[in-house]
Amino acid sequence: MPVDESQLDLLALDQALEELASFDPQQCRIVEAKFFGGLSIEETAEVIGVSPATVKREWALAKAWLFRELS
Amino acid sequence: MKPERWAQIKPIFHAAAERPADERAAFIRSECNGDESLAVEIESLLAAHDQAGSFIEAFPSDETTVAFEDLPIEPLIGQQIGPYKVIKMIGRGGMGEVYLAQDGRLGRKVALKLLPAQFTALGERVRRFEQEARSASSLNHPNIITVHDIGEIEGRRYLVTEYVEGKTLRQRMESAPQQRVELSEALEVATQVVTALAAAHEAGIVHRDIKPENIMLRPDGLVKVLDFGLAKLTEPAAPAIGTEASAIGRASTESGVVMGTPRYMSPEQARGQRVDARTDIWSLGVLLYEMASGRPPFEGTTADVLSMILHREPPSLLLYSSDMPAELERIVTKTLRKDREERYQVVKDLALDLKSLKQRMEFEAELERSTPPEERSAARRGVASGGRAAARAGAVTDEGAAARAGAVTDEGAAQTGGARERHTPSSAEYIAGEIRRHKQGVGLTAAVVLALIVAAGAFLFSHRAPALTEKDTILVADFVNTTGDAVFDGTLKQGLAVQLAQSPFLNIFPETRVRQTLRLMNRAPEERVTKDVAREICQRQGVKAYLAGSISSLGSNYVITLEGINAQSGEEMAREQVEATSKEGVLKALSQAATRLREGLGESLQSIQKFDTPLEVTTSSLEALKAFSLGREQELAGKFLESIPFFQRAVEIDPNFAAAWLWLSIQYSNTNQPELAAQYVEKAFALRDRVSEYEKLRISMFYYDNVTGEVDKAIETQELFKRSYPRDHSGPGNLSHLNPQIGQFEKAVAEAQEAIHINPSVFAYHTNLMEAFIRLNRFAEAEEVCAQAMGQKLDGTNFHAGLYEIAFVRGDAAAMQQQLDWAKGRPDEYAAVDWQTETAAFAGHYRRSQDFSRRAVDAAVHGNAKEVAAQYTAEAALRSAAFGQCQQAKAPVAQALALERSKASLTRGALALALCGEAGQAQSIIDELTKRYPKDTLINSLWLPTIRAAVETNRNNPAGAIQLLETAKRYEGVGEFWPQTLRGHAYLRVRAGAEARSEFQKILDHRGYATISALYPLAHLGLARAAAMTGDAATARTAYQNFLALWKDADPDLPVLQEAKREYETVK
Repeated sequence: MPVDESQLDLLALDQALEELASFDPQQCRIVEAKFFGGLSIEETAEVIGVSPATVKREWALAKAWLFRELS
Repeated sequence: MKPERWAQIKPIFHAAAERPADERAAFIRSECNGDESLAVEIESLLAAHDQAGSFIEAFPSDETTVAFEDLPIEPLIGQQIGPYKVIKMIGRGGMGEVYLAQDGRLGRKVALKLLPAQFTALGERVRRFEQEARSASSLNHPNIITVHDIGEIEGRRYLVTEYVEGKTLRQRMESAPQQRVELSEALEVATQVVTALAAAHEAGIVHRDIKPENIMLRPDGLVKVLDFGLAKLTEPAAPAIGTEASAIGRASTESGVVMGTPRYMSPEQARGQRVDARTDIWSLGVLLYEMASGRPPFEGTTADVLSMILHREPPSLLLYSSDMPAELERIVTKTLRKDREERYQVVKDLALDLKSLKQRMEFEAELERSTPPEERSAARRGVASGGRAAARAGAVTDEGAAARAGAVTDEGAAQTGGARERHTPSSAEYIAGEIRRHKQGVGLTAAVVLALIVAAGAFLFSHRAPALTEKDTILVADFVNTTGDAVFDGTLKQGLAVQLAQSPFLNIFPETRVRQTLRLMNRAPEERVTKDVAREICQRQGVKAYLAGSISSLGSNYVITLEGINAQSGEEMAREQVEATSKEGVLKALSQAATRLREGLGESLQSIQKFDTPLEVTTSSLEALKAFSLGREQELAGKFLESIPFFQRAVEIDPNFAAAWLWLSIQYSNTNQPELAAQYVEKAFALRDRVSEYEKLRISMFYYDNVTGEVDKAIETQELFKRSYPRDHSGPGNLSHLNPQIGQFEKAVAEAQEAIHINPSVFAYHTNLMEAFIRLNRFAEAEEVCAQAMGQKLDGTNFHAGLYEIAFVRGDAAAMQQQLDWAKGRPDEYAAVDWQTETAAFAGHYRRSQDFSRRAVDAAVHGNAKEVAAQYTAEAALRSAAFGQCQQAKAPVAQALALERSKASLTRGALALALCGEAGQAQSIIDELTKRYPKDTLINSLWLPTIRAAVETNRNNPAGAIQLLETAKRYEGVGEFWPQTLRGHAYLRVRAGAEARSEFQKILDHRGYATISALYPLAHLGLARAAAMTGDAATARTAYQNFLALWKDADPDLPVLQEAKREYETVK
């Protein structure tokens, strides 16, 4: 079930992110930079100090995990 | 989710995501290796991944903020202010009100601080405050409160910060018995505050208002510092040019801003001078004082407090409790220097002192808890060096009891001077208007009182200058013995040296340097140091004074005289004379005289009380001390083997002579007999409570290093030693030996340089420095170290080993040959044969490397270095495994273990077996290692995980291998490239090309870690395969070429070479 953007529960997302940070702080930073900071993949890579390919991969997994948590 | 579980999931998820959807299920099953729940988890995530669509790809459009109309000052409870709903008031004060509020957007609780209305009118300053609050918050430091938002509502500025549940430090102190928190808690809180300040100061931000009300303690122990930059708001806009009268006048018209107590104010704040980071250091000192004693250092009316801040010293902390550490008193006193130039200059230095005090207290507590490990003694065998680095090391040089170094300059001061903090250019002038306001009632009388106090203070605190300062060095001359009884020869000097070494105040000129100076004076190094000779040495070396002692008979009594003499003027600085009624009483009398002499030379009573273990506790036997001093004599002449019988004699006479057990142990270590070394240091460790603090720390360090293998603990102990005896060269010297063992090469460089600076005569410090430079790829600097040391006539195998490595990296065959020639005919020539073994293997000359290895092993066996022979044999097995020659790996492992079951042979042997799929045999060695070395840092955190990872790789469980290797990460600088190689292979197995590539790249980037390792050329091959996997054909091609170039003359039948050639064809 896709989550409607307008109904995104920011509070729940915030909590889920805290959980994510507990076992994968880097993924949490990537989500923060990309989603809350509105940065692109390349910009995120620059900020976090990893390659864009890594950001892409990590983002995909983080997004999958968060999506599952929030669904 | 557990991080370990997540680490298993990640590589498989990434690899699966790159595959077509219909292949994933099968791929996951095979990778998960029967772990059904892991497979299900990954599939579920992949399903979520496919469904997620545009989830969190874009931030939802801006919410409309709730508008608000009139905003009453209070009550605000229940009101909505922007996105914040006010829940309750949690405090109010001169800086406005603080509310607990709910942030409607994220649903989190926040603290909302409304500043008083008049601040809004301050315009520019508010802007500056905001800037500062933001920049402090942007430091994103766990001990600094996070500022979420700053804004203005209806004419009032507000500040939204994270909401911290817990108490303020003020509340905590009020609830403690006698307002005093436990010392350990006080240090913990102070340390965390200092960490926050260090980060802020680094960024150019000064807090200016450190006080218990601004420090929050969370129930979980985390400390948060609040209100960075807030104090700046009260700074006047105009520069500080007002007179006292105009300041008071101005204050009376600006009555809106009320500051709290001036108790935490620094003298410069009280004077209205410019404020810098050192103000925070002062305030922290006040805080520490108050936490430790339950009383503020300056108490009374505001005017009283101000005058005390400016002119009076607070009562000594030692008055409050008998177990107050003298070191805490020293630290606090240094933070509370009126003149900020005399305080800690940077908060980092304060942090270091607090940390080492904390460690020392914890360490002492632990020493009290732990029981002497006698029961474990002789059962343990082969507690030896953990591999190549340690086999070469031998930094366990020592000046022993007389080892207090002659610091040419004050190390601490020199460092501090270089690292001055940045001054905040924006820091405005500060007039303490709000303080002076409180003085109105007191008027001019205060000035008169002040003047009186100053005069009284000057009277009270003037006393004669001490004879010596902490920067001076002192030489101990030989005793004059007119009793005719030879037992006193050398013995009393040794006793005096032991007795004085425990003083952190006295710096005794090291015995090694005495001998070196005698050589420079064209005298024999073992010549007696008479008064005249002592004076000449002092003058040559800039030593301030010397101690001369004598013993004579008076009837049946003995008279001992000690004199401290200024080497320049020849004047007597201190003199003690004691009488002993019997021979047995001589040591006790000497001990008492030495203690009194320390006082006469200017050491403080606190220091003497704290560091005063009487000599007769160290050993009560004059004969034992005599044997000990003869042993030291041999040892100082470099005759390690010859010294052993003397130390043995000393412990035979007095089995409780801990220092003698330690020296015996050190000599066994120096002569490459680590098992015996370990056995004897256990004896010393069991007796450590009988010795001075100085000896106790040395024994403990040596014990952790050689018996339990707890390198972390050894380093901790040694750092404590260094803090207590900062001018003793063995402090940094032994740290330069310990740090490289766990891959801390940068630290090793710094410590070795410091040790050499204090005492350039110790060979091991130079080799430690050179080796650390090599590990860091700083080859030119390594060479330079070597050249300089050789210029001072210091030389040894370790230098030539290093020079060989450097020449090898540069491909300089002639220079390599020079080192081989140098080693020829030496007793440890086997080391040079081993260099050739490695060199051959590096080029893929497998068979030649096997030949060299056999020769090296034979030579080591003949040279009676069985442990070395065992290590070489195990390494040969490991090389065979690395080259895929498993049929030639198993027998050598058995041979190695038959020679010696040492740490090095067991770890390398087990790894070879694991790589060759002999999981059962590897496991039995793993069990042995686990049982014999339960606490050993490197065994448990590096070698066992690496061996287990090799087992898992062979069980086709690469994910498991990757997970196991996580633990090894911290120490992989000393893993001889095995953790990186195994991780790289595991990633290749799960087809995570990018990750594999980065592992092999790490090896190529850190060649210095193991310059001649055969895994280095193989890393080019790994990189080639990884790059090919990610489709980067160009990189793959170059990497294959690099590998094939290094292996151009390699044995052509090696399967790994043939495979590489075939693969290269496909990318060419």
